[in-house]
Amino acid sequence: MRFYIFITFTCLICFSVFNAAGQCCSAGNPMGGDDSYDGLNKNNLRIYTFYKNSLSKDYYHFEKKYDIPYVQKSYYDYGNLSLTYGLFSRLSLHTELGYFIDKAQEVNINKENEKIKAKGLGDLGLNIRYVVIKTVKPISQLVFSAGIKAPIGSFKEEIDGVTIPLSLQPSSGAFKYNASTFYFRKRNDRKFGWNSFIHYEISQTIEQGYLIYRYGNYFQFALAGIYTISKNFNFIANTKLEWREKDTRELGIKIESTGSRVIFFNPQLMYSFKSKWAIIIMSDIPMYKYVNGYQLTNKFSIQAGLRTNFSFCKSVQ
Amino acid sequence: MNTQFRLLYIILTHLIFIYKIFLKVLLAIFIISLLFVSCRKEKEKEEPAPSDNLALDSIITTKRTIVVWEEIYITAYTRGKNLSIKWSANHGSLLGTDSSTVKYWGCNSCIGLNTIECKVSNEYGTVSDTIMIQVYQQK
Repeated sequence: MRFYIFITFTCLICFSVFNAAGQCCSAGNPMGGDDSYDGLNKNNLRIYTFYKNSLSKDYYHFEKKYDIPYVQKSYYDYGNLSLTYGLFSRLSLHTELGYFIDKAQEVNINKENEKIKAKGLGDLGLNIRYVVIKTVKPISQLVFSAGIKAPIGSFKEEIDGVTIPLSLQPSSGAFKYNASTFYFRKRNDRKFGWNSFIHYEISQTIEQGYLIYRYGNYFQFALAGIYTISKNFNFIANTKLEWREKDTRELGIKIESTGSRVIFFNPQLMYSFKSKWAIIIMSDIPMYKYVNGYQLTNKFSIQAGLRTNFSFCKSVQ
Repeated sequence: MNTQFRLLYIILTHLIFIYKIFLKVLLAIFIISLLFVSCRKEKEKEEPAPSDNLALDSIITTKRTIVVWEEIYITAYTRGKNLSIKWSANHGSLLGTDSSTVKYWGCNSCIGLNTIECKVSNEYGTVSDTIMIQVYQQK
């Protein structure tokens, strides 16, 4: 029975493609993860790996779909590995690195189909998480974190001697600094819980040759309800608001067709087994989008991952 | 007194002599250095000009001002053997048609004055040049 519930929810998440917009393909790692921004106990290690597929298809002008026949679609396939380690009882370290299996755009200009494609390592993420509040009854946690994303990946990808555009490069090419707050609360005797996540990211300016570029500041607010279906199943209904400011180019000129405000519905299904393992499936479905100027927008993305925990504490006999 | 004057006279004579020798040495060094520099220039002239083996004469485009999604061709005229040609743009998309010609177009986020750089290299070194393309919003 539980298996059928899992399959049903998985199918719902996978195929619930709404007629709405989202975030376009952009340089660097996608905001991914398993939405676990919590701190770990001392000497605990969490390993999480996931695969993500994203498709961008529709052009939008402000809030409305706009017909531009030139770009047919843009998509990526991305694999990620993250490690979180409890260094002290309240302090955890988190690192993640991803690889773009492909990051491509198909265009039709002058009735000729062209495909621009890249692959390679993305940015390296490093975060430090500090647990400010931690209670057992109810289970709650307030975590502050700060981190950096280092552009260690490919940023000079080229096809036949021609450098591909910035938006298709696997690495963002810029150092990014972020700060976030995560709060989680669930009563032991209840099936419902909730969490909230606030994230802010600023980027350094890229100065490479003739390219002077700065990504706009990024803000995310997420609010999620958690429902425990059974001992092994959890369903998380997450809603995310993403706010991206306009990018700037040389002389501080703001680029009109960049920056957006998007609301995503982000359903997640988590199946735990053998106490330490979990399969997590989720999807990003854009529900509302406002873009500055004209931008290619996201149709949907889907992510499947495997998570495990290890404890290096000596067991008390 | 006479002895003292004679001694002073001898010293001054020697000093003038040494000074004359010093001037002659300086003159000799100056002439030798002139010869050396001129010889070096002669040697440099003997070397082949870099453009004989590696040159990027010009970058030509079909249009310098385009609207969003308008496609143009950019061609680099080069000289030399075993050339490796690399293209890059600070904004906009490039796609190679052959080694010396690329297609260029700009999307909505590429509006502005954009720089397209061409770098040509072989065993003699690298030369580069740029061309500016203005991308406007489509009306």
